Amino acid sequence: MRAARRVLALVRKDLVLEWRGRDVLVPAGAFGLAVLLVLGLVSGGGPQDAPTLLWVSVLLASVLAAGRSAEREGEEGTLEVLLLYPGSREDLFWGRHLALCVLLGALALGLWAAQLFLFNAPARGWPAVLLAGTLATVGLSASGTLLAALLGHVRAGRLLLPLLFLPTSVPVLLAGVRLTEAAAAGTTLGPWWGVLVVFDLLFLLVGPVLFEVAVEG
Amino acid sequence: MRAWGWVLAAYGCAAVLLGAYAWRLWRRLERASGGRAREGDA
Amino acid sequence: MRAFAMGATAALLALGLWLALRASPPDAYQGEYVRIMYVHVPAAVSSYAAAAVACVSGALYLWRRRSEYDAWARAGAELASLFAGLTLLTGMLWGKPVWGVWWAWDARLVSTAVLFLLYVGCLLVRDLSEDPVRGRRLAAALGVVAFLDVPLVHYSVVWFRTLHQGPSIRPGAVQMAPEFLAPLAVNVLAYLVLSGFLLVERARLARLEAER
Repeated sequence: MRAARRVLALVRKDLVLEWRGRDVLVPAGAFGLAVLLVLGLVSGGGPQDAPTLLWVSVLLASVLAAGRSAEREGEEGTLEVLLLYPGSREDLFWGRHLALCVLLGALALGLWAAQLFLFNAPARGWPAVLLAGTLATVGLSASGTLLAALLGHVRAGRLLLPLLFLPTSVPVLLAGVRLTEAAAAGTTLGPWWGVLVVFDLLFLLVGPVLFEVAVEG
Repeated sequence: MRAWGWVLAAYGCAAVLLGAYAWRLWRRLERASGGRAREGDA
Repeated sequence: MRAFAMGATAALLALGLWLALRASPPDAYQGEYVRIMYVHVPAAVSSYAAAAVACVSGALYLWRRRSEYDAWARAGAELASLFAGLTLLTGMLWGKPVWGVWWAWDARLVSTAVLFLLYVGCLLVRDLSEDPVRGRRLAAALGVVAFLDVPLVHYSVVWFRTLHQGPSIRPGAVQMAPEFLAPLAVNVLAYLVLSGFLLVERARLARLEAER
């Protein structure tokens, strides 16, 4: 119970900061749009390219968002203060993870809406896409929270985050693209749901444990 | 004969990469142990 | 003891080289190119073995915090990226003449490339960390994550290609005749012994440097 209250307080803190400063969603969202535009321009931007471009832009925007939201805590010494409070450090992971989930979810939803207009993509099968997006968001924010925390005290950590985040997320990217294509075609593909679920479970299990290692003094 | 060129290129790559790594490791071991690497201190 | 280990490794590598370049017959389909397999497959096996060492000793380090485990984790990560790089190079040198392309979007190639990138990142994190002790912990954690993620990448790439365009070329799907299998086995053994030797020496170097 106490742990849940701690987690909720942390989520609230992150979201209030975001609401006041808007320094994650606005830059990351604008960057995602730029990626959609540039890739759409060079690839011709037909409806058949839409799933690929959508997921690539979501992934690239997620790197920025995960890095920025971890950086914010580092800048103001928030993390050091939080570590002084009693209670488990796992709660810090869950708090950051849930807050990042909300941010990445909003980001993905915005980019999905944008690609409907930009590429004239069919909105058919949107419940499946929404579910895939939710699962992907949970997994990506877990891996993003963990990796950003690991790179917090490393020189050039902001450059290393994409190097580690993009290869790790290949399963989510491929699963997202295939599931979105299948949804537009009115079918579904079983194994890909499994890939997303396994990715989520892996990082939700490993994340909190290794996060504690990352933040300890 | 052209095939042997590719085969030797692959083995050459392996020799250069592994050789360079082993050579550097050996040099650093010698420096770190002050020349004792040869006798094998355990 | 070390001289014996070094001699045995060298002898085994020489035997493997002789089997690969002289004793093994050319393949009916691939011709002489099959000889590249005798360096490519052992390098791949060695890189996965070294990655496993990095993962296990990284986890042990995080649990027990003994610098001994960190030395093994570092050696494992270095050798994993070295052998993964060699696997990619030899794979490309085989792919160009046999498949006609330097690079194919095959699951093994992609997952080896991911393994390479993640372990290079792991080494970079260790060296760029502001505090060396923290760097060890971070590298150990990344080694664990990388090892758990690579199988998932592998299977997702397998499905991504096969569900889309039918089975691609899969080396090893063909049954292998004993005259190819024996040299391959000897070479795999030789490379594993070599990487074991390098691992021990690299860990020893880490210990020596920590002493000074």
